Amino acid sequence: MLEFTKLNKVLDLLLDPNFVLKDDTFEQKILDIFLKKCNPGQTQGEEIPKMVVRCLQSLVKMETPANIGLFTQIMGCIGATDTGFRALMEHGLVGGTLKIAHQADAWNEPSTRYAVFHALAIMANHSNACRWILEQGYVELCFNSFQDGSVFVASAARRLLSQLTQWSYQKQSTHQVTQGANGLGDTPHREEYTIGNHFSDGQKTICNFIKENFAVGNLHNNSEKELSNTNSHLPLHYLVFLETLCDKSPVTCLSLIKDCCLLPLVCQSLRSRDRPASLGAVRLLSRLMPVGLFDDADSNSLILNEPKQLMCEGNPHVAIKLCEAIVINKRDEPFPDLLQINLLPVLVVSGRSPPEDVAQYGPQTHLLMTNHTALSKLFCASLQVLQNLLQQGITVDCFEALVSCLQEAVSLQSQVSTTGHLVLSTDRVMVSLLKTVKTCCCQSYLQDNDVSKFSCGQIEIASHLTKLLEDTTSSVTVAVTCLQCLSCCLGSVFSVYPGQLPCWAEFSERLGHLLQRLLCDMRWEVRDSALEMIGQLPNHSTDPCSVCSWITQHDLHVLTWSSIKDGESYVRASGLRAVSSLSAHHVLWEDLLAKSNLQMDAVVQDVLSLLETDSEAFPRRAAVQVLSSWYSIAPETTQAVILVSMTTAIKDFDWEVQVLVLAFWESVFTKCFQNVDTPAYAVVAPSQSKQRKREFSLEARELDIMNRCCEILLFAVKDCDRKVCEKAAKMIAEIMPELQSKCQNIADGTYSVVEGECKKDKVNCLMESVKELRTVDVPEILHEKSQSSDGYAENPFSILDDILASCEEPDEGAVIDCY
Amino acid sequence: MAEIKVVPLGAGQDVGRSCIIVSLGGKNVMLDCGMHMGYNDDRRFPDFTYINRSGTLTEYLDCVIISHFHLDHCGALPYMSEMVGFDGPIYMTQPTKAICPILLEDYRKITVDRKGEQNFFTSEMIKNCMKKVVPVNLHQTVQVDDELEIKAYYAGHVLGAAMFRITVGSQSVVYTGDYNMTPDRHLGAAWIDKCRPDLLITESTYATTIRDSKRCRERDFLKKVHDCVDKGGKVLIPVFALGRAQELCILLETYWDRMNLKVPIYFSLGLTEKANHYYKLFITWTNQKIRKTFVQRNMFEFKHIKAFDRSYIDNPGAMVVFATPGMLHAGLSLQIFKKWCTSENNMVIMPGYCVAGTVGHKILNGVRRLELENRQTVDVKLSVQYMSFSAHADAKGIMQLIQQCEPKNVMLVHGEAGKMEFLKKKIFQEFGTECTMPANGETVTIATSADIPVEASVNLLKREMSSGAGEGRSPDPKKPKLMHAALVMQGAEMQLLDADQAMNELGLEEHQLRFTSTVVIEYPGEVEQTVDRIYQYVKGKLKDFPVQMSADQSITVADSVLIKVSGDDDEAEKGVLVSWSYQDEDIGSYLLKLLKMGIPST
Repeated sequence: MLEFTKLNKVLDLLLDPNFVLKDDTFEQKILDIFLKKCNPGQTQGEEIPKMVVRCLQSLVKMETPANIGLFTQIMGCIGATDTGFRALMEHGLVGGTLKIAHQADAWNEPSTRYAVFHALAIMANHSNACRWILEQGYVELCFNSFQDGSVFVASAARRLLSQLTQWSYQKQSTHQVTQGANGLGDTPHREEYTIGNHFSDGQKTICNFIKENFAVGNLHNNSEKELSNTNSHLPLHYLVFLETLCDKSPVTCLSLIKDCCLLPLVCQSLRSRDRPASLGAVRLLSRLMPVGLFDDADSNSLILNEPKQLMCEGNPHVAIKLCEAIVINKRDEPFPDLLQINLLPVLVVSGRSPPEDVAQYGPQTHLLMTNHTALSKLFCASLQVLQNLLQQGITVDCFEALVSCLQEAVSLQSQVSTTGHLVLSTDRVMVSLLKTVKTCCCQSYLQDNDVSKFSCGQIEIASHLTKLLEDTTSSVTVAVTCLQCLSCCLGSVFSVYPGQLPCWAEFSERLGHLLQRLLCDMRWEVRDSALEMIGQLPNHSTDPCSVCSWITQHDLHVLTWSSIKDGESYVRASGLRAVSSLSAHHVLWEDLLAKSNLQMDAVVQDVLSLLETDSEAFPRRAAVQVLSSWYSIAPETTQAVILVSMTTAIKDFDWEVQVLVLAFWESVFTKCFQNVDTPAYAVVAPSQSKQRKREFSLEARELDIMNRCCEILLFAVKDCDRKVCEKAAKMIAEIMPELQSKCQNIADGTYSVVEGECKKDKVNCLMESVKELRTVDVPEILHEKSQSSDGYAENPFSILDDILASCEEPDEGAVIDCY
Repeated sequence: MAEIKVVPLGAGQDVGRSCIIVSLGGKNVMLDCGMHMGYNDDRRFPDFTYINRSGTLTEYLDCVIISHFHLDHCGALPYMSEMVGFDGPIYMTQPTKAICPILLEDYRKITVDRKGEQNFFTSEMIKNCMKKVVPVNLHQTVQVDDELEIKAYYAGHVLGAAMFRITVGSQSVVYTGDYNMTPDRHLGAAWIDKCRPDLLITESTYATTIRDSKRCRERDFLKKVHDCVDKGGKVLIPVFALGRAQELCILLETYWDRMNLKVPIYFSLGLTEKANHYYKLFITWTNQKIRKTFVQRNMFEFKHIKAFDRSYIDNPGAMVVFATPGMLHAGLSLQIFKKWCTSENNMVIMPGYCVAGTVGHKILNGVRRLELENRQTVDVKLSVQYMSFSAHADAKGIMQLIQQCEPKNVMLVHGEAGKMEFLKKKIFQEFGTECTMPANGETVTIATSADIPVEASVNLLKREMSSGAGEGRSPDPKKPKLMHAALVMQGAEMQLLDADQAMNELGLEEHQLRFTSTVVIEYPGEVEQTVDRIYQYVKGKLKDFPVQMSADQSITVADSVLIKVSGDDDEAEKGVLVSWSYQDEDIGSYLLKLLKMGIPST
């Protein structure tokens, strides 16, 4: 009840035209209260609606109300349920509030216009509200607001209209279900939408408005064929509306398009000079394809003819995008022509396309394909489409063309300025090409059963990539993307016995030298990416042995190891992770130790030193991960050292390091005391036989682990970082039964302590720690830490305290600052 | 008419989530990509669906420019580049590139604490985003592509902050980000050349304020801290990882030195080294005094400021602690606050903005009984102070910048609507410059004149110059001059040529056009008399033009207009033929009209 009192006070404050909310987020957060409390379907208490009704009544009487937008939206929240809507209607508040908002001064503000559309959209959840909104003529206002000066107002108008349209069509469909031709309760067949005299009023209103604006003729008389000769097109803001409607219901969108015979106009929009409009038309069509756009024979042929026509009209960009959509949605049918269209820019750049290939599409397209600026854009679009198709599993024969493009890119060094070179000289285009090549390699799309031919192809790509990387003038982004691409490519190469391939020897030598150089590159991005690549390489290949032997041959593992002392923290972290990955391969690891003249202990010591002394969090996180992976395979002496460091590491300043440390201890504890038929940790009872005495002896190591676990948990559970505290509390809950059980057994004399094996003081320490852990109120901590430190997330009403507090403080002209 | 379109997706009539989309010359540029700390859900980021409803932004944006490392300018960058998707270039200065990841990681921690980690970027994404960044130097023109170029200028405000000029062809926009026209202890003042952009997009945080002397605020701060520690109290200063904290550290260090104070000052562990490292690394970005003294002493090596350990929280006695995060909403600063807030001897100084809902915001609004996450309530008895040391230009500074760069239009962002309105009027009054202040989502279109480069032939220029001047005098450079020439287009290039040269080059022949008309007049007498009379009459009327009578009884006016009289001496009606070239249309028409009115006998 206190909350409602505060809400009342705040609403009264908002009615004061001189009152201004001090924080720009307050308005949204007040609305959150109403939106969360007033969701449709939830039963509403009487309090809030009564309060709002009172305020809205006061609002109506005021001449120049402040915060009109906020109250309008609050009204929308209340009206979102049928009960609330009727209550507002009884007092004439829906129309009254909107009337105030429509006053000249208020309506000039984009925030007010947005508020009106948003409020109506919130309300349009039920039939009464939808009907009322339609009757008030908001359809026309929505359409007219599509070109509002504010994109947010336009977007809100579109959302409202989409909602109304969907409701209208759903209503009609419900009507059809009960009165449809099949007479049964089945969902009506699509054709039942189309003919006019079954339209709902809402549908009629919306369709008529569209028809009037685009003169698409009488719904009953004109067919789409007749209208296909029209030259007019849908402007962008209508296309965006249709897309918004598609977000809600693609089926409704398709129905509306068919009812209003808009398909020819949408197809004409593909030719719009306004680029966003033409691409919007493509997007719309592609979203309608899965829901039956092709079901109709006329639509089918209309759309399938478009790509070629667009190409001939000098619109290759749109043609390419449309091709993609068609191929993806009709993947069961072969479309070599469409794929050819998609590939054309790639073929031109690669030099594999003869002029007649382009000339067949007309002089305009030919002109675009010779202008390097236009060709760059087409090329990138084509590459993106190829990526999408490949990722969808569609076979596209583009391998050779891509290889040729790479070759062209590499030959840039010879300074020959052809169109292809000019296109490939920009970073943006190069990055796009490399990403497509990477997708191509990763998909292993080649159907060819000749494995060696496939590998040769991959080596050819890798060779070009290597040459690109050898060019020291290439930018960071190109170099990084090149390395990512190379990583994919090499994985395939190494999978098929590269040593047997004729081209391998020379290439592998070059690559090895290159990577040695890149690991010492002056740019941290390049060093980091090179390390990532080396670390992932054995895992990407089905034959890690050949990878390891190649790495060994070129001492890349040694260089990787030395990178943990790099000056850049990201590089140190990547180096550590790469080392960890390489260490999983025994031969490689042994070779590294031998060449570096190191023992495992020394390696671990170096990593521990990094964990203890590195000034940056990234390497320390990586160090914990590395030590966690090494712990189980390390000898006992090394394990003991790791445990000591990991005990200290819980005090790290970085919360992620702490969380990783806790995860480490969780894993150690679980593995140490994993299920055995007879507990290995049991303290020996005097009555046990000698044989059993060995089986049940408590090892010092296990006692140590328990003690250390308790120590880190006691520290972490009081940590100021929520995640650390939460993790510690969860871990306590998990291991507490085990700890308690052991302590109980020791305490009640079931087991006595064996001198020499376990020091009594350590046992005492354990008992004390467990006793202290028992005092930790885990449920309470978990409850507290599961809450957000953002008060509003838990309780939106808490905003009210802040608003009331802020208005009590005198306004000293405190300026909103930045952060 | 060429135009520039600007849509703020954030920082339009508010502060936070700065993100402005500028379209000029067919290029689309995103200026800043910030987040709003006031929200814990998707509202914290700008709404990128305006740019592209679904899919990546690579195709739609030519580049992204980040002005500085404050989170309200770069906090959404990894989300935009890695989660929404952008593979194009991201430009920022070197210090910004180095420091951004630190603050972004800090922000991640804050978000996790606020349980807002749904749909949020990871550390790996931050790293991958930074790999796309292209660092720029000050006053270096960077060619983004064939047409788009950018240039960075020093902005002050924080280390590495820059203002950017974006140029496409003849259109240019200057975006200031946040800037400061006054130097402070470790940074210089913003500066830009007289670049005369079509549009200046400037922050207006202090649109109506002429800030008090910085010295006063510093003195006030130092006095309060000193008084508190003198009484044995503890001072907590919540700060963000990097930024303003360094300014305050220098202030305290210098004061402690001067006053020979022994009270310990602590800084959150890990941040001191990072901050020192970057400020040492980018010493050239600091002000002259820091650079000068750097040789003898590094101003960022603090003798009195030590790393903080959590165990010190319970230490008795006075101390000063800088701790993160800056709004007291979680972490170490909140932990310290909980311990210290119940003592009246202690103090907390908030040096920056606190979003609503944080403990910092609540205590600044006077809340004295706080309910914390665990339903525990604490009484806030310590002294709460707010001292803004933010380095923004005040109203005077904004006007100064406008005067410096002379923009044709001004747009105000990053401020409050009411205050912007006031400043807008001032700008118009002072400079006569159109000023806009769009809200978020509102599109502003600025019309610009398109400059078309045209080559002019040397002969033409010489001819025109010499024709304008008098004998021996050079033409007046201040006076506009009308040039008569032929505009010839060859391919995509245009040239201004002398008419003869143009015809020559085009292989054309000049044609002369003459008009001839005959007027019948009533003048009795001989033809010779009529001619003579007409001669006298015309000479009297056209005193400024040479009128001559030839031997064949024809009259010539201005060397090209010809008048001939025909008829019988006995007849009163005479035919007067007037012939003129098209260049003398005026004279010809005039004479014709004159003759039609009749010749007076005297």
